[in-house]
Amino acid sequence: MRSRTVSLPSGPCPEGTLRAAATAEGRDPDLVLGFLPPDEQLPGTLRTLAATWPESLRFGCEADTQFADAAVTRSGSLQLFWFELPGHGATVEVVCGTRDEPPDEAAVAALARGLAQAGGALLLADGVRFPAEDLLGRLAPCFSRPLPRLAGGLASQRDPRTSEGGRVFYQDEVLPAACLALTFRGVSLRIKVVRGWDPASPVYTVTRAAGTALYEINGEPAVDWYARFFTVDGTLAPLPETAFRFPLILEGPAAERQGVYRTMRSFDDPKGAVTFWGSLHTGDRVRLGMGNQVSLVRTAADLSPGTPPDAAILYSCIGREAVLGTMAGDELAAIQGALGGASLSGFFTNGEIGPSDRGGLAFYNQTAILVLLRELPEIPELPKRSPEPRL
Amino acid sequence: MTPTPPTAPDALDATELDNAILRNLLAETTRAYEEQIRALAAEKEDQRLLALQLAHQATHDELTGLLNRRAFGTHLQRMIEESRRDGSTHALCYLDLDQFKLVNETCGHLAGDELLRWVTGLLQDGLGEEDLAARLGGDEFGLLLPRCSLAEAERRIASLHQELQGSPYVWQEKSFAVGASIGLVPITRRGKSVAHLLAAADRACYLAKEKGRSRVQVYQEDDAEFVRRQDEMNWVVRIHQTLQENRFRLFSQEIRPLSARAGQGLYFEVLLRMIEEDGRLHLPSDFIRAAERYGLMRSIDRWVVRHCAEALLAQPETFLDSLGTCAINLSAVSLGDETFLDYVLEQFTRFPVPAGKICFEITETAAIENLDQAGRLLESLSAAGFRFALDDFGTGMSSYSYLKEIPVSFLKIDGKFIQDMATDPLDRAMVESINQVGHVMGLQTVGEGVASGAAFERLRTLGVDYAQGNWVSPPGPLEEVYAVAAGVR
Repeated sequence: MRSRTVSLPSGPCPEGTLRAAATAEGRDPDLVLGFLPPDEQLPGTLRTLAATWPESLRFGCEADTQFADAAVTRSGSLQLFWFELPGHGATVEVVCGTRDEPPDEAAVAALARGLAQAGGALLLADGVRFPAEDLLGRLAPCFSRPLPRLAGGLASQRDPRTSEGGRVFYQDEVLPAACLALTFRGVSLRIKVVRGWDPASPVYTVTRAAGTALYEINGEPAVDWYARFFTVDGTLAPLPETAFRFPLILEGPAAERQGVYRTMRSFDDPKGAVTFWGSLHTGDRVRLGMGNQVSLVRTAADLSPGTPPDAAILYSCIGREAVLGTMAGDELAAIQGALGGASLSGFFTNGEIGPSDRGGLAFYNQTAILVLLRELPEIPELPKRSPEPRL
Repeated sequence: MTPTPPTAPDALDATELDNAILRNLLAETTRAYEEQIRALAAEKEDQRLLALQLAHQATHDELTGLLNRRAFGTHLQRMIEESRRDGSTHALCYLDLDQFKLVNETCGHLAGDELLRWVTGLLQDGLGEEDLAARLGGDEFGLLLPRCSLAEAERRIASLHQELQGSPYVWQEKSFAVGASIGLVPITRRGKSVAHLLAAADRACYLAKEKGRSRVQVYQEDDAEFVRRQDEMNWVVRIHQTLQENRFRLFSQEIRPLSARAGQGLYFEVLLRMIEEDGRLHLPSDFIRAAERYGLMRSIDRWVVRHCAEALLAQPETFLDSLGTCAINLSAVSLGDETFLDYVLEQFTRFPVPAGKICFEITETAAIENLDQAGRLLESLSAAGFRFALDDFGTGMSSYSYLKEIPVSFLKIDGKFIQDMATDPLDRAMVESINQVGHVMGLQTVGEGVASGAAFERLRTLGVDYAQGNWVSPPGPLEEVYAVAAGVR
């Protein structure tokens, strides 16, 4: 598989730039993966993509900050793929739903069958309206172990306080509330979970939580609990911003949730609640973690990707972006350096999807999920041996 | 709830703010630990005793009072470091009792436990004051002989072993000669790690067993036997990875009808290949030995069954219509696995390929090894509609009597008889005999390993029902068989 990343210029998407990107390969790309800014240019960009590569499979999502190889950009990135072998390719499944009207059982079962058959997939979900974490919770019991390799992220917005942006698109259409599943034929998919946080407090028990809202820890109001640690010289530190550097680490008791982080979304809003970008359950064992731009970049630099991939996609949390600040490019450069020059795209996400430490399926915050793609070689001719060994 | 303080300490930059928050967290952590310490201090004196007991239990084996594996590892680590520091040589032994299972099974667990305590007493009597003994698990013991050359260790361990063999273990008037297979490894300044040394001692112990048990085997890194065993261990790791990363691949080999008795549908055997990350492909002969020895056949069989069922069902209905028999190999381990029946039924419920189109191939030796259990499994699967073939027939017991006890539909005549039929009248007679008896018993016969057109014709002349081999159709990816079914190849 050959792959190439294109960093788009700001403003309308120029068709010439797109054509030039594909010229060296001699044909239109088989697959176009786009992470595009959530602005008024989006419909025009999709039209240009359709006009330039009408036969290509095109999909992606809105993302406020995108990656194009080692560069962090805010004007959009495209990753183009050409499959080498006949019969190799990709397929996109679309599942629609909202938090009020989640996908029905039949749709989830059909998706699960498709994912199990493919052995893995990239998931891109609407980051505002689609119930992605709920979908993962419903998919997981449909699989037998080992689970299919699933990785992905939730589309992001320019302003997380609004309900604007965060949508996915497929071919020419921006979908109102959907999750896309990209499955491959003839492509190996490996997933790395990049963390970079250390424990910073004793372990506590969540005594009251509902959905993404936390109300009580160890019987103490969650707002007071946070205020105890985040009050400095009698003044409360800016939240949620400061808490990005102190994510909540889930320690159990559910084995599948161990090692998963939660990023604070709002403090005391609604009143008395601390909300997160992922769910918390009453009974969860949690502790505060700590990290900074240096620990995140160092973890990325320690990454060992194994066999060099043909291409890679990085889904990194917007919480990491806030912590990394001007060093966001350093994390990206460290990862790209480890990939041996493979093309890399991705974006800062509203939540990440990846394998848990116990081989389950987890919805992460404050984590970077790196997907490594490699087209499988053709199966060589067998040497003739006789008699044929068993099995 | 206390009122929320005002926000925005503008005077602090992020680093100062983080440091202040970390100080708060540190204070909280310290307070939590102090609370725990106070709670501990407030407990009664017997609680302290309990703590001491717990500490002892954490490092000692409850049954024998010897060190446990974890504590043994700590001492071993200390000796490795000592060797590196001053060049001293020590010795590590891995001792596995040879008769423990027999005692346990014939006299019960109490007798087994008592045997372990009895051996412990012998070891403690035979060891010096500075030597250390540990129970590493089950009937395995570890010994550490500090500041002891390899030659000296060999002499002392041989003497200890002689003592063990010369003292029969008696339980309720039954006497058992207890021996041990012992692996001996020197700990020198080149000693790599605890795990490495324990693995080396384990390998030496294993070789002692392979050579007939009740002996001491010294580990030598370059020894061909150790290299072979290391090679097997490497395969074990690769098999695990291949299972985890789903890199096994199903191949197939067509089995072609020869006689009028043969069924009409497509008949093929499913084969397994391991694909490395770089695309290299391995035949089962490369890794099955390691899989059998290290208990991985169960997982491999299940992988094959599941993926085969899934792959067949994924084909268009016309393929299943044209399919006569899909043969799947089963190992002896699965035949003796009580949970295998449920697994098969579950997979074929999930991927509902008609059971009558599936034929499980078992070898005659595997069937005989577990005749009772295999018989039950085969009967249950047979009742569900699955069929069976006896593979490599003629190489094992070659007895027809047990054919009545297991519900097989096909007899597969081992390829080595087929290959030499032209030149060896005995082989020809064997093929003829197996074929005739098979037909009398209502079974269909398959000639395996057909490598030439001449062999193919001879099988046809003898009335064998099917032929299989590279001359008939070489193995290829499972997808090729779909093409055969579609008539496009």
